[in-house]
Amino acid sequence: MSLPWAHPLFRAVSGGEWHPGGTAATERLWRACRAALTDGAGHGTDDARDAARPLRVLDAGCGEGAAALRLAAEGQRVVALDRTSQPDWRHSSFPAAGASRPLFCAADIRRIPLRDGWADVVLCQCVASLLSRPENFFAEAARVLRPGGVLGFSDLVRRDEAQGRPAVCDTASPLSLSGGCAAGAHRREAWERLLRTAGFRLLSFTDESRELARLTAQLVWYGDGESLRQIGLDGAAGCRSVCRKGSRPGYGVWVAVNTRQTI
Amino acid sequence: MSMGPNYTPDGGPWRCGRCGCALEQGKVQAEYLQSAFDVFLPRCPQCGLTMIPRSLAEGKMLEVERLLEDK
Ligand SMILES: [Zn+2]
Repeated sequence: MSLPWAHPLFRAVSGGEWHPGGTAATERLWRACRAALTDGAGHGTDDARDAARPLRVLDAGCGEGAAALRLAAEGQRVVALDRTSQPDWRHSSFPAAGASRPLFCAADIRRIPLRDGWADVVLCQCVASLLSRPENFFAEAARVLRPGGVLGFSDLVRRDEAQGRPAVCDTASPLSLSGGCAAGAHRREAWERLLRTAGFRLLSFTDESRELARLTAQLVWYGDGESLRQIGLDGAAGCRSVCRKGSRPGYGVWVAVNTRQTI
Repeated sequence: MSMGPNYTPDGGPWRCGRCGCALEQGKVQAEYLQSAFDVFLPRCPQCGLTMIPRSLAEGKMLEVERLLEDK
């Protein structure tokens, strides 16, 4: 099955940012990351000249690049990576005079083509659950972040009571836990273990499961039978109606600081 | 979104109980838990009374409610 965001229905509903919450969620995450840098959680920004410079931001798994373009338009230096290059990378409108443009690049976010300690902020929204060995991404994020740099991370969270218990949902549904893009969802503690192992100190966690529910509801509402079948929300065996909360994934957002002292 | 599913009345022509006008298909916005959903429904051209066909109430509407309530 192809991933749901390749489908026109998903693109129409999600409005250019392929993760729950869309633009507003990115703005919240970005503000939280900036606040973490200024709070000194990300020490090294006390120098006035340093604080005034544009921030170096890596958008890991940027999709069409809407978030990267916005951050570049506000003056940040942005490198945006995704597994496959997107037509929008070339066609998106040029930024206002004086603003820089993101550097888009097709790359595996588990092998980031940036030098050690380059980034002030790494953003990774709803992408890590698609990876085999997501720990390799966290290690890379820690490597490319400067000491005290901040990671803004969001992804699908398993909410079923017992780990390993088979989910009751239809196995073909990309938004169910037993198959598709939610198959890589981890429990909150498991994501946090991956973050800590890579050398991050957790600053905050926000449960944004409501945003995922909203996105799914929009897809269900606007999708016709054929489109919903194609993205795996066809309600086979009445799945999407009868799934208990525990067998649908939730959605979490973390802000974490890189604790490595040297590059 | 400008699009939206289209629901016609369940079986036959319907008239508004208040005004007696024949219902016409029109775009309305359903709102639930701070989310808005566009839909084309039969409504009274005079008073705006909107009819929610059973197929909608027991179909997409129910599913969306359950999803948004996160139950
Ligand atoms: Zn009427």
